[in-house]
Amino acid sequence: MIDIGNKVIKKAVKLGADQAEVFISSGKQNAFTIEKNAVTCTSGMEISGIGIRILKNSRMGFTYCTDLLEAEEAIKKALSLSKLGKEMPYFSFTSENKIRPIDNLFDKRIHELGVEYGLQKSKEMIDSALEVNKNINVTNGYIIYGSSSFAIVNSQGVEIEDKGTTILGTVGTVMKDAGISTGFEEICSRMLDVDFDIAGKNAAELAVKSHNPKKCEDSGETTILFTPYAFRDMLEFITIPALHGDIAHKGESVYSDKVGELVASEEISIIDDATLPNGLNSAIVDDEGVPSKRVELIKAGVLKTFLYDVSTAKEYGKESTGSGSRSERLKVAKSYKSLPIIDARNLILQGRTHPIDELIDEVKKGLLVYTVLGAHTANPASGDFSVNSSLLFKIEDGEIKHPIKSAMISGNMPDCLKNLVGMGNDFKKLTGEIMPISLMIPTIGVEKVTVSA
Amino acid sequence: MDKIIDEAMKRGAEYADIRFLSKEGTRLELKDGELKKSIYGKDGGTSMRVLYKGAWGFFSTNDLSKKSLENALDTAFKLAKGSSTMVKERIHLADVKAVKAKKILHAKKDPQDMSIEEKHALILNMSSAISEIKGVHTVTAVYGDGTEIQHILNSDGADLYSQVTRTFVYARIIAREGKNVVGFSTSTGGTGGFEIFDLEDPVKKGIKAGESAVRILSAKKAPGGKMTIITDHNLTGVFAHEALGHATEGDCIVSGNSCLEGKIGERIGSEKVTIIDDPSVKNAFGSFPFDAEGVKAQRKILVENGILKNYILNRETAYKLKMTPNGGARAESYSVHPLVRMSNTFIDNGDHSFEELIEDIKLGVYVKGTRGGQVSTAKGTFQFNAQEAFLIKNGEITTPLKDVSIAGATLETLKNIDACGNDFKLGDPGSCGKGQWVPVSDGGPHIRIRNVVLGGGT
Repeated sequence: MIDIGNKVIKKAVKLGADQAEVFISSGKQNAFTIEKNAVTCTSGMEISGIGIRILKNSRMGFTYCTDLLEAEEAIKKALSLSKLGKEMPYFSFTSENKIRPIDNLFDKRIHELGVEYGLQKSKEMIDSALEVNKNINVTNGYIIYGSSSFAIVNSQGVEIEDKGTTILGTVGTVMKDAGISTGFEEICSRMLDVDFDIAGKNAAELAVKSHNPKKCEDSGETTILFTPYAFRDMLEFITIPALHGDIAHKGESVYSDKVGELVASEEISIIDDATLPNGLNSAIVDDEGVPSKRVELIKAGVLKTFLYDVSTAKEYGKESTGSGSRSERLKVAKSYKSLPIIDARNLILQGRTHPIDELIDEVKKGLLVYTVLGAHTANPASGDFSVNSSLLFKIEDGEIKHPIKSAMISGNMPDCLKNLVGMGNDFKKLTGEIMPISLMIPTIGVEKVTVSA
Repeated sequence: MDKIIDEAMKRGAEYADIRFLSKEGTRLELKDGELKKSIYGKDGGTSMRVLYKGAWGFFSTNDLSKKSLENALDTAFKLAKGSSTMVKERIHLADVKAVKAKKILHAKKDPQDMSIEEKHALILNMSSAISEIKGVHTVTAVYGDGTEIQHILNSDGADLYSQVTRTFVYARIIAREGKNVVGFSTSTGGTGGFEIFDLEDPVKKGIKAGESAVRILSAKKAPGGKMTIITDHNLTGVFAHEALGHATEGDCIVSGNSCLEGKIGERIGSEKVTIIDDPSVKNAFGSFPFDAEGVKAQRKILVENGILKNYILNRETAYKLKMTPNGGARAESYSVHPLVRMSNTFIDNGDHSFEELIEDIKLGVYVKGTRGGQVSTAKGTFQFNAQEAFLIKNGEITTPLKDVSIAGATLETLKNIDACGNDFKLGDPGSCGKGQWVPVSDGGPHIRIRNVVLGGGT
């Protein structure tokens, strides 16, 4: 791969580029689609391609192709595109070369897995869900696994190659008896250490637990325990974008101009760790070749930094946090078709944790919320949200009382991080709902959130 | 290619198809007048599907050499064989007439022939005009075009070639006053080339959006509780797409994930409601000539005068439901399995003028556009946030409101639609995500809905 990269760089420079970067990605994956208690499709995918960024007169152009024979034509197009581009005299592709290995990102066993494994595990996942209750159906789900490799070569001397494996599974259940209720579970890893049996069982048990919900009778301010699944949506759509360096420096984020200030409860730290062993989005470098880092975004409530890729960092006189991403959600291989954009890698919440039972014990009146619909419709600039949940439970006097049909939950996300009442110890590794990020988060308790029926 | 399909059939496949797709396009992104991203790319590949003993095998690759294609067949076959060992319910495909055809949705002013300067000027003009509005803080403007060539061959003898060009511009506006920040989006586009922008001027539309963003800065929080609402063509469309449309998707129905399962022929809404999904609307963003299984795209009346009439179906779900395939299979790219998807989804015109709709509303809300929406098709619940809203008082549009969200049960809400306007329009072009993204549009007239739960933020 590095040889191909060097050849393309040479061609780009010959055609007139001042600097060039080649990103080569190649991967294969198998996917098993589950519908109505069976695998309905088994699929395989092999994909490879190259993305080329060129810099000419401090202006950038980007092109991609899948056929090396078309690289020359593509470079010419990129050079012509660059003419109108923003002038970035400060920009240069990275020349950093200090790379440290990360454990548990490649598992030869996954690389060599055949189709039989996925079929077998799909069956086990379905069966373990069906065993829970006779009224359970597995309505949807998938298992995906595969391996990928990528290379980054640039004219500033960077030559890096790395590989990895990924395995993911999700399962959705519906229980139809007197009424209807749903459950779900998802699992993911870089290593062959996931348990699909338990995933199926959890999804079914959730549907059983949430059966026969009652109407939401409360309204007004309350305490909410967000499970990792629900809080993922809130972080992904509201908090993380507000920490993107480009958005923050343009004054479009609630966190603009707040570095050094207390923006969350002192009990909370938010870390984006691209070096996390077995992290879903870990790699030795980010997707523009910058060595991966562990970035403290919020430390004990204090905002420390935003997320930067190379160009945003250079534009605002900062260092890249290694946040240039070309990942694609649910794809094992990175995308050669995308320009790097700023995004979180493995977002981790840290703080004093408690067993979930203790968190529930402390709640006089509140809700345990498993899913939220509509976090992406929050006001990105203010962090005000209004989401609907149709998988939640009522908590009263420290006890889970009963499932609730549906409730509207509204509040302000930055305020939620300030009004923390406690953090669970049930850390869950999750993929983003839409974005190709990963999160490692527990159940989070927040007070002063408004609920309406 | 025919040979590869023949080979699959010889080995015992019940069905096989092969789909080639190539895409070529440009994308420009302007932030505050500066061109931050300029991308040109060309991408292509193929996928092969084999149905063996009632189970699918699917394989995709972007290596188009003869050897690779033979290998693709081998692999797809192996995968199908693997799945067939665990099939509980055999997959069958409903019959469709095999057609050989070629269809090009012509772009009159083809973006592939236009200079980068012309594309740049379009979004620069829009962006500058919006930026001049007092109170507008930043403007991100995006231009995109893409020409997609699809060639499908299958073992029934179908041989379909299609070419579709889509062109769009999009603006994301941030208005700001002190700590008060408002985001607002607008987009214009469709199938075709630059002629799309002769039909609807993105600059004028952008200015309107900018003015709305600034107006919301001083808007008040909405009242909460149950209320009568009027939705504009954008929000009417989102309701048609999100709340009703997703629940009519055949895969949702057969997997037991839809509140509309088994309800064909039943009344699910008020008699004022007719909802249609139509991929043949000229110049609409979600239009296409053939679906990803080579079935001709067609207009589907999903709900007629309140009665559920049809689902959106591919060949597989049509067989299971004993219905007729209606061209509902779409795939984001060559590399993924086609899913059942919508195209251009809308509520049909009624006969009321806008004035008639609002005249007897004592207290209500006029909700426009959306910042997105989500739905649980199994439970039949939805939630969306309006992009813009106004209080209706004694039959008149009054104060601007902010952060209005509406939620409810789809079936209940359909029954609460008591009047539709006569001012039909398709809304902004968009992208629908269901594991894969596909271009869609939605719309309708102004409609009046009684007893909708409003959330007014904090």
